[in-house]
Amino acid sequence: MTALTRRRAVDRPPLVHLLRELVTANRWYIHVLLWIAVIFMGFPLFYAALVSTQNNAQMFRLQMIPGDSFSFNLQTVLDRNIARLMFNTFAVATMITLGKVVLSIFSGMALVYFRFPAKSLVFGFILAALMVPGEVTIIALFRLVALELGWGNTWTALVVPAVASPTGVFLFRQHFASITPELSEAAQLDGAGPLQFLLRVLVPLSRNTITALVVIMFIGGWNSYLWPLLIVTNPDLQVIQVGLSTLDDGVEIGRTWGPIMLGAVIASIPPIAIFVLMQKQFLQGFALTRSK
Amino acid sequence: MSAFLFTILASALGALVVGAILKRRGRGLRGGMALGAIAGLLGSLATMIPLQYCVLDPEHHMFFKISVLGGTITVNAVALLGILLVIVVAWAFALAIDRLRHHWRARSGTVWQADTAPGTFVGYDFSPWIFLAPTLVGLVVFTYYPAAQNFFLGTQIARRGVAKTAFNCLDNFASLIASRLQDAHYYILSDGFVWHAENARYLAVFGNSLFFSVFIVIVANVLGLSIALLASQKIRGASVYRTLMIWPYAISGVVVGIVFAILLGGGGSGFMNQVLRLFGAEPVPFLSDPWWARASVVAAAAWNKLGFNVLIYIAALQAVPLELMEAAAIDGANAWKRFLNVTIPMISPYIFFVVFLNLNYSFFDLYAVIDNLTEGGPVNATTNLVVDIIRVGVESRDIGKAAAQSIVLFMVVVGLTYVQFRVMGRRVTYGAD
Repeated sequence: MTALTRRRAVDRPPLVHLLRELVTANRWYIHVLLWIAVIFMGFPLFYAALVSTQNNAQMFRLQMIPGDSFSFNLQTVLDRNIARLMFNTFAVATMITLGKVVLSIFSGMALVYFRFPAKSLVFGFILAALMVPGEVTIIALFRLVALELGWGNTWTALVVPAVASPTGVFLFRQHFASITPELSEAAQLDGAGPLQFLLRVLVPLSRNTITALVVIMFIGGWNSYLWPLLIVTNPDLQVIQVGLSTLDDGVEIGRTWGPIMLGAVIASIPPIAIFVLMQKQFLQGFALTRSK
Repeated sequence: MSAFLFTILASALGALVVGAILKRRGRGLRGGMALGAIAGLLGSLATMIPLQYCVLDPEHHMFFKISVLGGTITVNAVALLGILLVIVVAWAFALAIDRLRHHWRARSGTVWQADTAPGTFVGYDFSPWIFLAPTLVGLVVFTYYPAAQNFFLGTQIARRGVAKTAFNCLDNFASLIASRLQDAHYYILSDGFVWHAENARYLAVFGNSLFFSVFIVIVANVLGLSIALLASQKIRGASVYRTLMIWPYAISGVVVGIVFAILLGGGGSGFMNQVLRLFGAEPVPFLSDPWWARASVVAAAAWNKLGFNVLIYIAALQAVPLELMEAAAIDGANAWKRFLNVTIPMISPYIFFVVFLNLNYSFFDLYAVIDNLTEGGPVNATTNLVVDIIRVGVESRDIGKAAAQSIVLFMVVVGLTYVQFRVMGRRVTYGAD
């Protein structure tokens, strides 16, 4: 059977040619298809950027060149305090990310570099929380945070419930477990305590894992919508995702789309920038969560 | 008295069922019957004592009707849910007892194995707990406690903003599919489908969630893999193409919803409809027709996730060894056959990974997209499970019913996770390194 198929292959172009064709398929139609895909993917945000320079009349006229209302729209979103919203979002997302990274490093350290009873049970207890998405608990969490803890309308309510991260603990545990134990043995021989070992050895060795977690968590924190929508009603404390729909100029009947789209574009710049610049680390983070 | 009867009955049924199952598996009948009786007893006690045997109380009964094969059956939903609950819990008890028995038998004589991991710090008994404390406290207070609270609130009459609650049996659950009025919920069973005839809102909401997840997964994966196949080829500027296509993943659901609202909304004068008119087509009611609105949500969500899928699939395709392709080519496989028989099996771990991430996304994370694109409309046509929980719990202030719905959603997570572990464990590991 194999002999038969092999004989048939002789009639085909030599293997070298075939492989070269496979590897450097630089055909024009692939580029055309890829450009179609790029345009298809980019069009919605491109159009949003276009509308952010227009007024409603230009937008409904389907004007496909930039309009003359950019400065008006910019003034409107500035009047609606987009700077405040952006700052709030940045502060909240940074606090969440920082909290998650620090707590996860400590937990991962405890799970790898210490011996204590019921360790695997503790790890299982942390991992099991992955099974409970925030949407499942949101009603009871809202009751707990707003009614029992009285944290309504505070950043505490936005940050504190989010800082314990099973994903982060898992990521760091796996990473620390892949580091050779000889390092910590050497550190102990040199008289270093756990904290010293953590700061001097583990953190420098974990730069990639930390970056991966920061990218994932910062984008997640920046984009969160439902929880702030429920728990924060004070516009001075609100985040950009909830604040976007308030960026109307409030004069025209119905929504003025220009300022809202300008806000949407501005709100999308930080997460896109981070994601595009750090895509390698982001992928590594996912590779880490996948490997056993 | 009826409570006593209920418990005996559960125990006897458990003995019969488990005994029969274990006998067919070639294990002892008597042991199986004993296990079943204990499981039935424990299962009924563990569920009915917290519920105070309320499912037997006519005051809490709710009904729905099913029309099937010409006949009509009236079903008591509370009793049905109570029985299902007992069966599930008793089943869990049976599995746990069986597992424990094996465990003990296997472990008899061996001491608990000491953890002798190298490189651990010696002499710090307390430190690990201090390191773990913030994470553990955070998870207990903000994840596990609310999750447990859901189970309590689900059985209560609870209003938003009111601290006091009152026991309500399983009525919050039953009212999702049934009513005190015997004719209010009427289901027609035909050709294997359940069509809701009247007032069966929750079933429709559940259907919306299923619709979104199935079609978002299909669209985002077929397109994602196709684009990745193009972009993973060694062509000039491949990394540029990749960067130009992956960024929508970082965009928030709110922005996706708002942007698609201006593209598809606005009725006949909206962007897409004006474009369609240029080609001489009739205007399409993208956001005002139920099916078009659902399709619009799918399009927006799939667009959002496409970049991520492309990124993962490109990484997957680049990991396929070239020698395999070469071998297949030598054996005379054409491009399509190589794709089907080499590429797909090699990247199957990634396919499952992406599919389950997309499934999770479309079940749980669509709120921002839907809220900003269709607001769940027209008339609940795009309301999914999460949107409905917020509707009921926050806007209608019915915390009890929203908690009951949250538990249904939790069951979906449990099901998805179970399937994920089964599939990942069985089929997919061979390709992963």
